[in-house]
Amino acid sequence: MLERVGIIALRILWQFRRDRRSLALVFVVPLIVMTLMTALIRSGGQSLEMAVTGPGVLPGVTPIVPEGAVKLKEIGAKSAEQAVRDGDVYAVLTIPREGASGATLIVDGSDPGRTEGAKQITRLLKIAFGGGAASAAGIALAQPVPTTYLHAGPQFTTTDTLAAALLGLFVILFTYLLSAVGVLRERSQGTLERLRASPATTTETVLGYLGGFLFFGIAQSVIVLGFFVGVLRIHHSGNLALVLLVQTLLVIIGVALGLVFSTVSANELQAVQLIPLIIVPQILMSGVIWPVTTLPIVLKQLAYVLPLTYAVDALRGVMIRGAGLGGIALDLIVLCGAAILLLAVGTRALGRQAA
Amino acid sequence: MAAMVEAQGVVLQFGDRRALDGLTLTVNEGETYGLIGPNGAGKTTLIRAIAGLIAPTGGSLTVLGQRMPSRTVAAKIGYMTQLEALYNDLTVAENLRFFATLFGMAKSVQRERMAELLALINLSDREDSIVSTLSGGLKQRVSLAVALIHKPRLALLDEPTVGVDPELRLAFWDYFARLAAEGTTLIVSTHHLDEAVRCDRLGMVRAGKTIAEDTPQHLMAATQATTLEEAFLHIARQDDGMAGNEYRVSSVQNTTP
Repeated sequence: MLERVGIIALRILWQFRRDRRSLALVFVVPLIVMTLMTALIRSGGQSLEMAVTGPGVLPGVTPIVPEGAVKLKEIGAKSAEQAVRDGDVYAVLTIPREGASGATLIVDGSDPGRTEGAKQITRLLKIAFGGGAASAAGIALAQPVPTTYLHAGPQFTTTDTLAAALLGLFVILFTYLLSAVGVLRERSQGTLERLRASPATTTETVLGYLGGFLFFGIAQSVIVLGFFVGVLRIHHSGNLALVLLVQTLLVIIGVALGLVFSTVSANELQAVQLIPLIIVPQILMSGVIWPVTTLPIVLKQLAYVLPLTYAVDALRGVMIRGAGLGGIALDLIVLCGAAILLLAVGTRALGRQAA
Repeated sequence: MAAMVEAQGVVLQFGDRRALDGLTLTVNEGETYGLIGPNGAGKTTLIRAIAGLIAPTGGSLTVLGQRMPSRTVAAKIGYMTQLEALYNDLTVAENLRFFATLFGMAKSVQRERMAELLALINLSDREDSIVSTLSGGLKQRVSLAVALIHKPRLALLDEPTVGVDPELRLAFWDYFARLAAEGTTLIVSTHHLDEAVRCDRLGMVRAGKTIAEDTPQHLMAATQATTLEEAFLHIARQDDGMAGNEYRVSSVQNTTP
């Protein structure tokens, strides 16, 4: 039995080593996507450009403004409104002679996020420079608060949260796609029939597929993780072996999904057409971009049914919160259960395909 | 002689279509059995049922003593389809190696066996070619090699010489004769009567039933025909008469001797 499982797994490796595009998809695309996202996020492309002017501006404004979130600029001789219209800055806070209590704010308004940011800076400055004698107290109030980080630390950014989630997403997406296409090709080539006429059982075929894809899944995880940590300098807290454990479970789930959906697809295009149905909702709802807890009730219930939700939680648990085996135990149990269930369904589906 | 394949009133229903309608035949061990009949008569369906791919819906089908479908005899059967059924993105050698291992052939004998079969199909110099780069005819040859790579006791060959040039066709049948001499049972479906004449026994299949089963010589004698073609046309017309239908005989075409 082992020989048959082994040769099926080996055959998958033979097929892929010549398929340069698939190899690029598996190994290169995640690196490119992540590098782009990191570059975008880290360059502070969302930074708010603001100006503080007016006869009432006191020295001491700059240290109060939170570093990185706002870029203070000078508008020179231009009027506040002109500077915002011209796009020099997003917002201008004008402090009149009487003091910050009478300050006025002009914002561009097209980005609610930055508008909110500008308002917060304004409130901060009003507190700091609110009243003449209370200035010193005000400035003291506006100092950064000493913060204790239970997990991660000040050096962690959105990039790190995203990286942890994308690691899982890439592996499930690619294993689903490649295994679904693999089975469909076998069906159209006629080799699936040859397998059925051979001593290999359906279970052995499925195990062979798992073996082949596990190799690629782990290889991808190791390379991508290595790239994240080594080149992109993604911060991480925990045991990376646990990361690989989660990735392994995701490979199994991905292959099982590929098996199941290959039986309802007539050709490779149809398997691809299912991606918006199977993968995209998981991206949107499993917490990759927005936390699950912030989802509307109905979607939240749905999120708890998706495997990716638990994988993302586990990956972030390990990489950001430094969780150990105990910390992600629940996620692992759910993932194991999903893997076993989907694999059973997938095996039955494959076996029932009458040629 | 022990029976290698025993079909007793085999019925195979696909929805509302009866592909096999109470088919009875016997293939004895070690013999070369030819399956003749019009397209759509059920030859391919029968071969696939013997290979264990589809289960009869009625009657009984026994192969090597096992009721089909059964996986236990799978390793002893070699099956060649009309579709080439090869891994198009792998080389010839990789395909052969894959199926040899899958059917339980020891690694130590694989090399030699592969060389032997590559020589038979005349593709020794193309073993590292990717299958998708081969022409249809070459692919078919590889398909035959894959069917035989593991030295099966029963070889099921569905029209193995379609589109094969006369010289190679002769080489194939000389190889089949060698296999037969080694004790392999062959079931070959063909439209070429010069091949049918080389079989030990023939089974003529029409509309899902066997209408004649005997050695080529007996068939010719029984119909007082001088050629096998005549014999078949006679039998077919008789079958038409007995069934009382207007079916036009279009079987036994392409009788290039």
